[in-house]
Amino acid sequence: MIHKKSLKTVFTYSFTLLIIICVLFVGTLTIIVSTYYLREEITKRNETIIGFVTHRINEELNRIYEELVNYKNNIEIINIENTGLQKFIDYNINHHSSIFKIQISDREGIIRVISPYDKEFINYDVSGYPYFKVTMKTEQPYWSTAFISPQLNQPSATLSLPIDNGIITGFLDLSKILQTSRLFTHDSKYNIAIVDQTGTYIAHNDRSKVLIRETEKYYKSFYKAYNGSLLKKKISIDGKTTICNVAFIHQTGWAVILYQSNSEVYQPLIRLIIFLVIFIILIFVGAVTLSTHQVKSIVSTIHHLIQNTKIIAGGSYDFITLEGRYQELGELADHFNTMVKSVHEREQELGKYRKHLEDLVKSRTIKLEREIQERKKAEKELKNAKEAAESANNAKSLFLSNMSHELRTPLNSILGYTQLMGRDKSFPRAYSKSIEIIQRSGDHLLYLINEILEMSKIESGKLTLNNNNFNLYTSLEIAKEIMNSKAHANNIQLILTIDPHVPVLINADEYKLRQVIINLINNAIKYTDEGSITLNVSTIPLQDQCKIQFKIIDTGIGIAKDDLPRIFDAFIQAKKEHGARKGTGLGLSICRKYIQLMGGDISVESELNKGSTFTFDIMYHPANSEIIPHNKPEKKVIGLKDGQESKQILIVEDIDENRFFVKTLLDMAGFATLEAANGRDALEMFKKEQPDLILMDLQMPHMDGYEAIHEIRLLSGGKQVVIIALTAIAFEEDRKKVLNSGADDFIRKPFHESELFEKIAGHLNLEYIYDKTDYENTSVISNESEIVSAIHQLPTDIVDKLKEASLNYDVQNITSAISSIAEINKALADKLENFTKEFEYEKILYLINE
Amino acid sequence: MKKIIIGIIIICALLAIVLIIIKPSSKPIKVGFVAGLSGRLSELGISARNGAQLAINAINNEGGINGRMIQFIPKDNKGDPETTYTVINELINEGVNIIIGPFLSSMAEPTLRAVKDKDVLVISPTISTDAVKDIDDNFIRLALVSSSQAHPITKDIVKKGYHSIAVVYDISNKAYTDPIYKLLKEIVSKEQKKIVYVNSLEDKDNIDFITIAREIKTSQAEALVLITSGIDAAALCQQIYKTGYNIDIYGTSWVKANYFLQHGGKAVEGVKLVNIYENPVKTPEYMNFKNLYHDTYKVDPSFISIQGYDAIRIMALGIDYYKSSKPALMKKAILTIQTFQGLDEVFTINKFGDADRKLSVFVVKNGEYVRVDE
Repeated sequence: MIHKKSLKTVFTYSFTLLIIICVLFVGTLTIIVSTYYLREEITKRNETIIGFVTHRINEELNRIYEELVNYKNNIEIINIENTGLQKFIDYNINHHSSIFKIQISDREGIIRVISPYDKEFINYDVSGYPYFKVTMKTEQPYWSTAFISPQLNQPSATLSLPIDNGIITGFLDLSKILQTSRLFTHDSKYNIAIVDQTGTYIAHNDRSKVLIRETEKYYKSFYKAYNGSLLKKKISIDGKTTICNVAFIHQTGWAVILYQSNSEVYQPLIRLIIFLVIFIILIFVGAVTLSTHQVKSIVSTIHHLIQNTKIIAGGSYDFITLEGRYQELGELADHFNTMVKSVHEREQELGKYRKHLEDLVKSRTIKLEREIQERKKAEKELKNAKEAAESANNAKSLFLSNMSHELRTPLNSILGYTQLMGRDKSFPRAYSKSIEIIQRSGDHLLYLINEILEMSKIESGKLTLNNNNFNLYTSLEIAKEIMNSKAHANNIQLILTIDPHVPVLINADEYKLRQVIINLINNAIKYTDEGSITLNVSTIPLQDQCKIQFKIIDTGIGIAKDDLPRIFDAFIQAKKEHGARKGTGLGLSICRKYIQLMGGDISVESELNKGSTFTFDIMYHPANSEIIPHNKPEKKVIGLKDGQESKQILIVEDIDENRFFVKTLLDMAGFATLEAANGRDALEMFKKEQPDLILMDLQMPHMDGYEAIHEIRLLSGGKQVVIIALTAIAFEEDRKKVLNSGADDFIRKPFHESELFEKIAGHLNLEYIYDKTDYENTSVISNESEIVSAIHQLPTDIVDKLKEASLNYDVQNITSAISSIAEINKALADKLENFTKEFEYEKILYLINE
Repeated sequence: MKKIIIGIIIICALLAIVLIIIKPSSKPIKVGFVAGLSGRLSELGISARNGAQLAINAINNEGGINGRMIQFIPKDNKGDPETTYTVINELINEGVNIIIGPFLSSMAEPTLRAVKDKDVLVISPTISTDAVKDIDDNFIRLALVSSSQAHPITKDIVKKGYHSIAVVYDISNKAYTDPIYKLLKEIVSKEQKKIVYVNSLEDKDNIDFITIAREIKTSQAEALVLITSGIDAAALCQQIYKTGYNIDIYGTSWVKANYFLQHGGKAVEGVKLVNIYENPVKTPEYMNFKNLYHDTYKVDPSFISIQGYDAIRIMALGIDYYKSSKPALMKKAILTIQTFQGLDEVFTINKFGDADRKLSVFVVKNGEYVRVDE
């Protein structure tokens, strides 16, 4: 948040600052100007004073000189020996104040005349005195240095002039000459001094300096620097800088010195500065007081306005009365009042509207609440219904799963024993046909159960993809081949076109893809009476995905528009009027689920009586070219190869029939078998016999297969023994659970014997002897044309019987016809038997009709 | 901002402290000077002061003693003992602890009284009273004890075979004059001589030299011994000369101190004076000083000026020795150095602070002093 300054602070500071700046500016200017003029003034004054003093002294000295010259002239007229001379001098001395003593000495220095008369000094020898020596020598007027006269106790000096017979010397009372002016009194405001030619003070404000004959030590430097005009020099006295103005008196070599200490010079300036400072302080205090007072007054009016605004904001609409002398604020108050009035009116208006609105809202709210309650109720019902439906569906799926499991167990027995009976060579031939029929019917039942199971898997969301690398072209050919016979039987042409861009090897779920294609073609055949069915395969160009599109186009009866949205739903078939068609009604639904699982979708276009087009696509990954497995023909094991040790196998199975079936199979193959009805027995048996391999059912009473495997693995030799789990559990995902339990492998019930033998051989490293006749027969006829030619070689009655039975799906007659064919051509019979196993009766018809 | 200002102030303060510690004390050394600078007998004091002033100027022009200037504070004692006592106290109160002076022996007593138990060192160039001899005090004297001057005078009188002797001595400088007079009297009586006339110049303000000259003439004394100031001696010589009375005149060091020749003129020709030894060969320093003095003051320096000059030089040596202007250390330094080269001659100062000097006899010849070698 920006800190806001108060109006008062801003005004006061600004105002004060402005004033201070102005005063400081003016003050500084004044000081600068004053300093300049002060210096000028001081210089001028000093020049005046010095000039005055010098002039006075010069005048006086000149006068003295003139006087002494006058004496000299008189002496030369009057004889020195004349007593009149004494009188003359005495007279004049009394009338002249500056010369206090006149002395006339002869050439020997003996005083001849002295005035005033002093007996002591008459004939006194002054030849030792400098004034005598110099004057006699130079014969020029001589000013002596100053000295303190013992008579006066004052500074004195002498002026000597040469006369004919000696010299005349005047003694001067310097105090009288120099200190006539008030300049030299001790209270003089000027620090002025006169020094003689030795620098000794002869006049000074401080008289003691004269009496003790102090000298000005800078005299010599002044003298050197002097150039005839007023000298100005800076010297230091006791550490203080002092300005000296010096003028010299030419006759005597004396100097007049005016001392002015710096502080003295600047004293007026300091006074001015002090005055300015006081002035600034006063101005400051005044400005602050005045501005504070003014701003306070404005601010208090504004505060009053703020208070009123608060009251108005609180809901009171009294008019504002502003006290104060500011016109603008008064106007502001007036406008404020106008605003308050209109706000008040609008508020009242708003109040009315608000009340109306509140009532409206109230009534609507009650209505809405009622509606909400109804909705909530409906929602609850809906939720209950949904939960019921879901639980029903789950129950259905569970039921289906359980049912199919339950159905598979007995079916396992049926199919197993049928196989056993089929193996038994001693079994009467007439029954073998019946057994085959049982076998085929059982297989078909198993297919139907598996389909139901697949649907329940789909619904319970347990469906998973099992991708592998495969040859798409081969796979499509196989599918076409499978469906070809059926199509031919219905006089329909089956056409396969593959776009050249479609890859040969792909990675996808081959089983499911083929299932979908077969299912769709199968459906098309069902609903097409004439014409053709075309399977178009092409690629869909996508940037980051690989997709293949499949189109199944038929020229059939088509699908009614009403039916189109429902055809992919489970258990739905097209309308009955087009004739009853076989199946669970799960086909298209499963297809759609498979396709969706494979990353694609299916759609249908159809026109009644013109045909339908089913289009679907799947995602795939490019396959790495590993070896594509191919199916081996099923071979029957009849024993172990020579030289191989017989292995002991423990069969653990609670259902006696199943256990017996497995035991019979293994016994026939030459294995030594042991049996156990549950896990506990299996443990005991294992401890006792130490078998090579255990076939372990998983669902058992007392101790189930999982626990038994776990316990066996803990026993000695338990880690080495091979355990293959047997289970009716249908789902592929359960495999992992089983393998994790410690089993080495896994066989799903019901199983084909070949699968069982292969697994055993794989784990125990065994080789078998196979039934050669079976193998050889099946290998004779391998393609359609051979089948057709073989059929053509059969007796017509058998062929007709087969054709009729096939048309009517008469399994019994088909089986009997095939039995008859077997006596003539075993290979053909086997081939046809295979077709019946697959319920491909249409294919049989097609082959007969070729 | 505040922190910066405080920081600057602290730095400045530290800097100032460091500068104060590092920089040697540049406060001037205050040197007091006490002499009679006004009045009738002030010429002695003034010429001593002028000599001292020249010494100080020389020291200050060379940058002072160890960087410290000398501040010279002359005081006028007006030749009066009580004033001496007062001005010395004034100096002490002004923070002065080195005093040059006083010059008359009669000032010795008030001086000692004033500096007793004070942290002050007094160096007197001329005080020669026997009263302070061999006392270990804070008083250093550069002159020989006065009484010793009686010996060469009496010796010459005896040699000349004079029997009646006149003595004029200045009672106002009793400390100086008395010991000489007493010893003189003692020797004279021992030698069977007679003092026929004595004048102690008691009425100082009204000395009638004409009368004294007449009285000496009347006494028929063969020799006159003057133990007075030079100016008084000269005045008396002038009056004796005027009377035409022929008498051998002797004078002590005080007579020779100043202006005796100037005031005396031809009247002092042949006067014999006793004074401290003077080197016949003048050093260049002496000549420089003499020239400078004359150049500055337009007169020749007297031996008192030289004494004043020497006193300042000795003081400077004393300060420089221990790099200290503390009186006790200065005194210790001076007593340790012991032997000094004065402007004119070499002399020693003994452990009591008294100078050991030789004496010489001079005679005034053609307006100049001539040393009379033995």
